Amino acid sequence: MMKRLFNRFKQHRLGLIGGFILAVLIFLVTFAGLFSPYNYGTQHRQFPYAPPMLGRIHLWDDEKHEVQPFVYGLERIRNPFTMSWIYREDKSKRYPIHLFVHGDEYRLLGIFKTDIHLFGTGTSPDSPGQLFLLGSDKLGRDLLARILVGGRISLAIGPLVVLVCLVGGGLIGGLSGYYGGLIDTAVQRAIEVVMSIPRLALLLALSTALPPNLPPLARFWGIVVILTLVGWAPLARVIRGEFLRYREEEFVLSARAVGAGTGRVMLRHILPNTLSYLIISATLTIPGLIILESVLSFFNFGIQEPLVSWGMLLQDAQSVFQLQFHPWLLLPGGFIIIVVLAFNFLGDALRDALDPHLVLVQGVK
Amino acid sequence: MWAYTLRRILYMIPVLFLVSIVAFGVIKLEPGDFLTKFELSYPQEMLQEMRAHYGLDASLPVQYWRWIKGIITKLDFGYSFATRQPALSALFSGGRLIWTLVITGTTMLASWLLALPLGIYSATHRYSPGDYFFNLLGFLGLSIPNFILALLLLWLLVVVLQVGPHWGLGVGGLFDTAYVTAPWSWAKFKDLIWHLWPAVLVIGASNMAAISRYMRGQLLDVLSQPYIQTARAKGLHERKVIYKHGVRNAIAPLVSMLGFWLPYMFEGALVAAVVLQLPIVEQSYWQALLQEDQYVAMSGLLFFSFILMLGNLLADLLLLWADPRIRLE
Repeated sequence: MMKRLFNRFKQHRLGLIGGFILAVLIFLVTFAGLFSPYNYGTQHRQFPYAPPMLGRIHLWDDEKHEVQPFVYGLERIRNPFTMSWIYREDKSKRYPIHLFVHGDEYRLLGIFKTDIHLFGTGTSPDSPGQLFLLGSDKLGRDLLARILVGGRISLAIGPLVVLVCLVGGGLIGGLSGYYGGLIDTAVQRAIEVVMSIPRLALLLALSTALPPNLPPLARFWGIVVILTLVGWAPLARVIRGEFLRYREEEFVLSARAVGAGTGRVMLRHILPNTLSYLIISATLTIPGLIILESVLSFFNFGIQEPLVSWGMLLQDAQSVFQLQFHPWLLLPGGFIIIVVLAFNFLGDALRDALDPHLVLVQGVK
Repeated sequence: MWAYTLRRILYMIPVLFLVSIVAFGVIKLEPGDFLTKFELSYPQEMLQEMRAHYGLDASLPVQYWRWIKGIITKLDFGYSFATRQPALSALFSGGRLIWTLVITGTTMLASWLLALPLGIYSATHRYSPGDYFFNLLGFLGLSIPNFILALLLLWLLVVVLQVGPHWGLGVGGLFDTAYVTAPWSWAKFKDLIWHLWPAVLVIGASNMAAISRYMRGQLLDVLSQPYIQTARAKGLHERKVIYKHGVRNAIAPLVSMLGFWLPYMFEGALVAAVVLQLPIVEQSYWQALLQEDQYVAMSGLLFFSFILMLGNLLADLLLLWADPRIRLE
């Protein structure tokens, strides 16, 4: 059974690509400290808004005639015509890029204290030889490091919220569909009320209820809670429908006839039948939740310093001025798009693999 | 049909009542009230007096009762402390209600007018380069969150096309400063269009993509039916086959997209209102949230769900009208 599923999943090329992209991103953000030359909070006050240096890595050392990637020193000068700050390569100084350099200290996986970074120039924070692959922000913090660390929250929050929604919505929707009657009516009305308020408006209103002086981690969990409050209703409705469908099926009736208790019937007999449908719905709900969190943080109602998420990083790119002079601040948006696409591909592939006859009338978002 | 409509409208009343409780509760969850930020700069007695005057010192059920009573008896949605006028006027001030209608209406119209031909083209030219291109575009339209689309559009206009504020603004607001107070003229209208299209794109992109993809699928389904083959076999002109027999049958289920799309339109409009600074109702809601202007925020939530329900009802009625196969039980 599993093998057949996997084979069918493998045929969906876009789904494989989506799954692969997500796997790579999860790996990268898990070891964020390792894959970026700096820590996400390290400030390089001399180098605010340094443009991305991805295209400024020189590969060939023509003095020693060997392959040795290096960058030139950064020099911050005033543009003589506009008086704005610009960066220039100081060709007199070269800073080779090494593998496994010592740099900022961090905890790998939150446990092992280390200062090894996969690549970097290994220079001190005020040396001109910095390597900002994707540029730096207003305080001279490395955007690559911030994107990787921000990805932890952006990637985690969708599945996390869906899980809570599935458990909570499953309980509510399952009981409602199974028992029917008064409980069902009450649950139906509740779902209707939640779904008749626009999600984003409700989400913004709920987020103002979070106290402003909340510790960062508590704020994160607060946001998980409010996203759940906004997102449980559609899933509960799906689950209710499924339980309602199976309630009168013969295998359920016969299970009840031989004396199985309510809990057993629901968990052992009905739930496994609805599982594939639930997994598909959950996967297709994730991108929407990721977008909601991003919008919330982008509007400064969500994740706040010192925590980082992609939406929060985009706050810096909000003004026309920033877009004009520091367009690389838009890069976190690219990551959001890629992750949303990947989850959509994955959801489509799962749908095709789990149930080829199933047609869900559900938005991609 | 009339009985059905009436029943649906009557049914909206209890739901709206429940929504009002949720809206009131959610907004009042917010720690403090509008006067909290003056705690340090004004004497306590004065604030107490003001709270008593505006009824902010009463218990929550009492406050809710006063609010809902005001709404039912005299359409009084509370008081906007930040702008010092009734909450409803604050929500709709500066022609915001009309602009909301204009912008969402334009978006709706533009997305259907653009998306339908694209879908028809894709279906009739299946697997052609054009079809692949529009498919790709559609997938992007569905996957790019609208706030990022807004940022990308700003970037495109300002940095790539260089039509930003220093070159005669095409972004933000609805008019250039020179036209804001000017009377209507051809130039002002052109200026409006120039400011409107980014907003329309931000609000409508995902809808456009969804409609054209759905239209493609529907039309392909219909075109593979035997009666289309019969029509072709009888020697009917291909144009007539597609438009009279194909499109007409494919379009009816699409109407259900209308109701499905409404919640997304709100999200798009809210995002566009904030990023592109559009003077629409969503913007006053946003400002009310920022300024802890509680009654405006509550009324906003209530207004949004009212519109949402009304829109869903209209979409269902339209579906009934467009597809005679659907029967009411």
